[in-house]
Amino acid sequence: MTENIPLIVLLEEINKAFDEFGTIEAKIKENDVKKFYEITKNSDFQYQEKGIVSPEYFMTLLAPLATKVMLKVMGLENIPKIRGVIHSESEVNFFKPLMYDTYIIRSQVESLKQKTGKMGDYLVFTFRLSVFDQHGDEVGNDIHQFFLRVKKEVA
Amino acid sequence: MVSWKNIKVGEVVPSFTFKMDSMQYKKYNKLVSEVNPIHFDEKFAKSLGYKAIVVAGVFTCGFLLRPVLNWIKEPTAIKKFQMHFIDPIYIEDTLTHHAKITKKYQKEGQNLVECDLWADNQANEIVTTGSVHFSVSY
Repeated sequence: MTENIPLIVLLEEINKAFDEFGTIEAKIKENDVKKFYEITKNSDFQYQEKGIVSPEYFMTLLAPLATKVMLKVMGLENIPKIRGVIHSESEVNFFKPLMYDTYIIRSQVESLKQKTGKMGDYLVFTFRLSVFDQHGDEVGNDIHQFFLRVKKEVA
Repeated sequence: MVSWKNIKVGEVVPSFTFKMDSMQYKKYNKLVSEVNPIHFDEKFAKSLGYKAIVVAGVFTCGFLLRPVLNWIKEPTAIKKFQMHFIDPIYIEDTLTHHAKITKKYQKEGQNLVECDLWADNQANEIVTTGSVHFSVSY
């Protein structure tokens, strides 16, 4: 798989790609949250009256950035060809309520490991997305682990 | 009303059932600008060995919290939430989400409760597991 590219080199390349992301602004729009509640059949509108967004929305807010992160990683020069991406686990930590506001998101690499399973070779990639309010206080973070299934090279 | 005094370790919270409706899921994919074909291209998903389109973890995870949120009725009480995606969740699957109190503890002046979470499908297979920590202020 990555015999010629040590993991440490690949990790450096991924870290560099994350640095290029810098910080990203994300605005929680009332219309998007309403659509989310409708899709997920969440009828508890007491949240909206208080201007609070359901914690269920947290990962949906970060989903487009998580996708960008994954696409960036998969497009790196030294990454092996990826056959499929599987979301294996997540952890979310909440420090302050999520409101209809504009937030700053920072991405950070947590780890990169190489494994072999019954379905072939894969990389285990873990990253963190941290959400900050306009005062610089951390509102929450979201740690995702993905399995990247590596394509078998045809000799 | 859920109160610290009345919460008992071992107590099972009322479950929540949700069907992964394909039309609703298409709307969700549009909302998050989904680009991973495993979540919208059936042929691609099948080429990877899956039975059908796989529903994204970011969509399904919120439902895992729903029994607790419906029960405590306080969205700001959630402190930490972990989930493990055990088996794929497919379009048209019907999932039942469960929660069971496993621990009551106090930390930094807060009354905290830990719950095990899990979701099973229509074949009673557990597809997602997790846990949540939430605070109770009264």
